[in-house]
Amino acid sequence: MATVGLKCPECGSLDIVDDEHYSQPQLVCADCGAVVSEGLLTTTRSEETQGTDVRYSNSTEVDKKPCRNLINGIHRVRALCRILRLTFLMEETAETHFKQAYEHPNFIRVSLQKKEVLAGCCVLATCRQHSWPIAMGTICCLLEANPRLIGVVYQEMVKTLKIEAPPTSIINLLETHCQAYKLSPQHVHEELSESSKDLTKRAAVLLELAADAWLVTGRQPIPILTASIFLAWQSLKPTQTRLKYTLARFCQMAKVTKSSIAPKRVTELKEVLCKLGQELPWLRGDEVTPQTVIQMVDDILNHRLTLLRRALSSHEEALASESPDTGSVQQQGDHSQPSVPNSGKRSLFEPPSVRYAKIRRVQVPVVEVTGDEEISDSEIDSYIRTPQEIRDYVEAKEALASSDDEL
Amino acid sequence: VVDNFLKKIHVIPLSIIFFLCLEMKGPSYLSSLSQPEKDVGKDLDLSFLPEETSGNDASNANVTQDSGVFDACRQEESAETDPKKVAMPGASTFCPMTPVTPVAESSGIIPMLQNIVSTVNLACPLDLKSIALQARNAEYNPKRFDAVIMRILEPRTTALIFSSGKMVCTGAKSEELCHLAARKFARVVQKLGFPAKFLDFKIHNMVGSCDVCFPIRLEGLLLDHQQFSSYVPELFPGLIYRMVKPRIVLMIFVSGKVVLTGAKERREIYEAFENIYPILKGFRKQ
Repeated sequence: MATVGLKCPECGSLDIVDDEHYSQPQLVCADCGAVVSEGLLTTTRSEETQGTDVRYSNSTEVDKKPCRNLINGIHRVRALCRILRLTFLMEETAETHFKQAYEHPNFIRVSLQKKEVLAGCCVLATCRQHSWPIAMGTICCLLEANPRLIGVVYQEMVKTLKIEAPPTSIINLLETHCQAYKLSPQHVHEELSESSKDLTKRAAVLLELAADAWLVTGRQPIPILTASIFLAWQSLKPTQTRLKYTLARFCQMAKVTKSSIAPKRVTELKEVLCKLGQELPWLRGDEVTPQTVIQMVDDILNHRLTLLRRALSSHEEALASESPDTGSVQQQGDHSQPSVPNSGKRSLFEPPSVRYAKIRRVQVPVVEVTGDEEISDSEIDSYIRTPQEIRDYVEAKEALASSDDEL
Repeated sequence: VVDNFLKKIHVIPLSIIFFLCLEMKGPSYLSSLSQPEKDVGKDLDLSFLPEETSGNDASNANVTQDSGVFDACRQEESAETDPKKVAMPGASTFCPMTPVTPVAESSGIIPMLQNIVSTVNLACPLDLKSIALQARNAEYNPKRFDAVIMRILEPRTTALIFSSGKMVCTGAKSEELCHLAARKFARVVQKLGFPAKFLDFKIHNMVGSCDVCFPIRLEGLLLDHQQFSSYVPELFPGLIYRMVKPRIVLMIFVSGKVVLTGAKERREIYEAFENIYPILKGFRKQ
């Protein structure tokens, strides 16, 4: 392989060749043997294997060595599995999924960020396949990534690999989530500690109540789990110390990440408990406020079926007494739909999106047109600039451009 | 005991209850499962099945029954065996139709069209810069998107006009309004000095929405119609139902609002809603 343009300083010949002499590349004159220039002695093995003339991707090597990102990804998958304490079988499955997904054309060219997220998604899919309850939010926290991105990558991955990953029900998530709360006597003060088992039991009942009252459907699971665990903790020992704790302080104490949505869920859950607490016979119709309801949670949960029945019947009575008065008001329903006015049949528990419905923009009544009508010229002209306007616009743009240049 | 309930939850959807009733009738149904080619409808006499709503009551003793997620806590003792494994392969040979209802009664609710997307070919190359300069209602930012975005007030619509002469028109609430709007945009382009024509007007997508006026148990709907539904509350609050016939995607929300999209014709939206309404009624709180 001659190098073009070089001349041997000794004999002036143009015939210079590359000579790999004991791993030191040299340029040597073919006629007189003078060494024109020397390369560096290679010292490291990696240079020898990776500093070749032919690029690795173009080489004919059959067993392609895994690329660095794939290796990193597999390490990440293994690390996630160890943090979550998954079984060995699950770790293997997750790794296989990751390798398959990584090499698939859908994923080989995506950004590094997505590849990182892909590792977490493989772990999530494996957990779901083995019915190991884990929430997407947990993966989100572990990867510190955008939940939307995780969602997108996860769905694409499931579609690509064609795996069946049934989502876990919320009650299974509760047990795992509960274990994350550090409330044993060795972590917190005796008065504030609570065993995981008791907490899970009470929180499960609260969660069931929330689900019945439409607080769970369609919502993120983690905030409602946090809310039910918080209320369970408060109600298991409703001392003044515990009642003074806000949700934020509780999360800090239990070393769990704070959530901005969980306080709203706490309020909603307390409202539901108040509605039921109202029916406790020994209160004799006293007002139950969110502040006072925590002490009664024990009783409410033990007799919740009876209380629910009573609440429903008293609610129906209230509606019946109301309806003769409001019968005429119901005529002014919304114009958009010939729907049953909700106010007449409002039940005791409703999804919050129904109760606090967004105010819709006023619907313009659809005009009957044929689509082939005449289009008036004046209307079209109203959308076109006059020549004067065009001139003004161009001048203004030039003035703006020149002032920018001056700056 | 509560721990046991918590540990082994089998949520039993309505369809399993149907299958259980069928099993009690006799082995004829189960034998028909092994012959997938036969038209299953002919073999089955489903007249004895209770109506959906009363079936709900019959299986639950409690008032607070309706939670689809926690059914199993109360029914676990009554149905230990899990025929789910048997029933599911059957479900795929069983043509995926709605659970038994008597004659499909009209729901009385008509979905309203909210958006229609159409395309038309103006059949002449366009100078987008000149259009953006001469038109009042146009915006053109080539660095962001290589088309002019033009809007008209009546009907309230938006058009994307490309330099090849193709145009996309969106925002109209009916097919006729869409056609009228597209013609108005073409007329504007004509007035700006281009020999625009109006070829191949075609509607590509129609979106409708309506309200069934009762809350819906999305978890229950997911269990019953697993093969069509996708419900991931962590990502999206609604359940996405991909109906096969007609090929429409529905987004069903807990409040009872339903959004239907993917239709090429108005009647597909109406048909899809008539198909889904009896299914949703089955998940209504009694």
